[in-house]
Amino acid sequence: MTLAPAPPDTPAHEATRTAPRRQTIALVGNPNAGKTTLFNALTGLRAKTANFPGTTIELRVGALRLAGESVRLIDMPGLYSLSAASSEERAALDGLLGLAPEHPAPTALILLLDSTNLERNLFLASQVLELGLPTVIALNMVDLAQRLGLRIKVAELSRELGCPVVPVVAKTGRGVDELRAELERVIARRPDVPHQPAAERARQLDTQSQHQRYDWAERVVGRCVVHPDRQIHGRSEAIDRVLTHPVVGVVAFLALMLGVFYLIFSLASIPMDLIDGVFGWLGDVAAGLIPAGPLQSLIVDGMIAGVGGVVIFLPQICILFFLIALLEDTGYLARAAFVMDRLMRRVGLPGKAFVPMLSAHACAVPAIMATKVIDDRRDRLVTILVLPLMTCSARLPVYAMVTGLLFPTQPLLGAAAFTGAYSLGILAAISMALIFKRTILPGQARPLVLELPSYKMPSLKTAFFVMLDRGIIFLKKAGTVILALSIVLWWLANFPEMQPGDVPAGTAAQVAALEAQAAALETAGQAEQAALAADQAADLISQQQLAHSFLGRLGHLIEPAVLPMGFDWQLGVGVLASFAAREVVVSTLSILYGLGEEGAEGAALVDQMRAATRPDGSLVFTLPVCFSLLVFYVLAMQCFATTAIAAREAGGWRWALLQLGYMTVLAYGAATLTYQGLTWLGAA
Amino acid sequence: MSSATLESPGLVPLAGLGKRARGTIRLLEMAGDELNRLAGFGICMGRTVELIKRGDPLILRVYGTRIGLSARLAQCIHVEPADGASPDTAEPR
Repeated sequence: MTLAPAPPDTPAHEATRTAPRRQTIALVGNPNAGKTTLFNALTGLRAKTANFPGTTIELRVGALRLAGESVRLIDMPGLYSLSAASSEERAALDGLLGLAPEHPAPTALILLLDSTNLERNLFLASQVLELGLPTVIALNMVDLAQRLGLRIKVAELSRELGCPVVPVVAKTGRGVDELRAELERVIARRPDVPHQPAAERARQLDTQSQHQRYDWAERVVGRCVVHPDRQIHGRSEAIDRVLTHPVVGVVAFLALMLGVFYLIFSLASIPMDLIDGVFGWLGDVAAGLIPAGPLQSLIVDGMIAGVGGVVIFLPQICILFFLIALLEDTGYLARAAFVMDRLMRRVGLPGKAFVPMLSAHACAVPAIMATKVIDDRRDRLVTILVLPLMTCSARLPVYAMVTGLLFPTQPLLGAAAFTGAYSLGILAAISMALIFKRTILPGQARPLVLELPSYKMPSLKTAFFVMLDRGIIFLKKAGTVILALSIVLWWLANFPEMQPGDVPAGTAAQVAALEAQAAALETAGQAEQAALAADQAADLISQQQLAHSFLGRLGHLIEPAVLPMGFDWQLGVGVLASFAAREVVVSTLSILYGLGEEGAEGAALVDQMRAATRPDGSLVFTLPVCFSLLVFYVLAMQCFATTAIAAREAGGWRWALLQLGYMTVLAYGAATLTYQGLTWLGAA
Repeated sequence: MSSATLESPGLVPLAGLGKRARGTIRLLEMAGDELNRLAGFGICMGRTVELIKRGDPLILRVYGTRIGLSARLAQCIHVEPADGASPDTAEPR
């Protein structure tokens, strides 16, 4: 998904001579000034999210009808200052504001100012107005300013700033029509000569003039705003005395997040079952339409099952994003970052990394997307790199299988193993963060500076849009990659096709006996029993097919490599098959142990696995093997949806591949250590 | 912070202001990009700030908004306490 401010092959001056290019308006303003709300009020439902080319800077782009013409509106990232931008933000800003020669300037700017905090907002305004672009100022939250007793002389302000000023209340839509009318006037006045890149002017945004800018802002406010005699600080400060308390604040935050998780897991199960049902139904329909054979198998077992296995996490991702967006909109998330900052800095990460780290316990995909709030690029990269070590919900079926194997009748020990697995993930993430901070991404966490905006009622609509955006990005990015990988894995698991001669004599006899039994039962009128026998025969054949396939052969091939972890070739196949989605290991093992895919659901799998023996007659799933398997799945990446999203958010595949690489090595090393250590202890 | 700081008479580190005390920023000892970042929040030479909550991070009021600031940065910001607000010396530093 890319976005360019104009078609790359039509430079601005050429475009104006031939066909007029589509007009672009950029929306600029401080964070917390109500930019997103105004953007939604102006564009409605037609916005989409895209990264500025070559950066991880995210922009929302929507369409706005002005004087019968469709104009593009770009919602820029919230900014406190043009000069404080990181190098990446700088690139995006230069491109969007017409400061880079290769990008045309926008037709006009909407500069959004928070009327309750004009001095600070005017600091950014002083920089933006110097760009010399046609600008309309939207003075937001005038209702709140009035309630605070501020009286703003709009005409006076417009004269001081040299551009139209429109008072608006973005939340209610008040003044939005006037803003449109003003934009139409500005666009109509637009000279036909394109704006020359004002690069040299922008470079003057140096530190020397900062205090002069504030002096100017104070003078303007002094002339245009009448302050009340007494300042009202409101309720936010009283709430913050509790929520920013070093102890009470942390407890309150953890309690709130517990509530969020409860909602995710309780609400998501309904749509997840629904999605499971829909993909099952799709598979049945496809199976009915396509004659049995490789094509049917590809579409049903490969594509539909593969994509369905990832889409099933969409409800969790959406709910998590919806709730985080709501919390952010209330202003609370800034407090969470504030109280967690001191604790997080001990591991070299900023407080803002904590919400993503908690979110990763549901799913790493939304957690990685939520790292956008972290200002410093190195801090953000380290957070992205370690997030997938947290125990996400896709690991739960694997944990359940292994703890079932280990402690079938001791729930307390099972719970302890579960807790241990969670703790291992957290510990590994903290350790890896410390290691990355001392090696490839050195430096302390960037010291905290953040605004604690006043609390407000969150907008369900804004949260809904955020959720929609994220959901679509997940489906597009993860969906396409997963589809491709599902096809590859399906091919590896189903080819070469087994010929009758490939079936070992013993198995062939077993299958023949079962089939004969099924036929006999059928004629005796015991249809249920007959179906059971037929299923058993089919499961035996799937087991042989998988063993015979490329994947099965690969399992044998890598057996020497997985042997140090205590794995046999079947577990090797499980590891390979679950490369794209870790939970697949359960159904793969179910097929390998002759229970068919459905076997993964019941207790039968665990029983079968517990009874499984090696060729020498010893048990496969001994205590060291089980713990080694658990440790491996705690630490291994085994999720291609996360890898795809990490590549998008980190700004390149090399980070995603580094992540995949280090996690695989870590998982391998730790599982080997576990197996060897426990074996040695057992022998000693 | 560094002992090489030329502590002008009457200036105290921001973190040394008493609670609810106000002061005017007179000296910022930090690199250019940090200066730029802080300036966007209104933490800039000549601005008057109020210390709302001490600790690490601490909370300031600048132009009516509250800003959370790490103590590490606050140590590098030197303010001239406003009239009537004496630097808090009772609190251990």
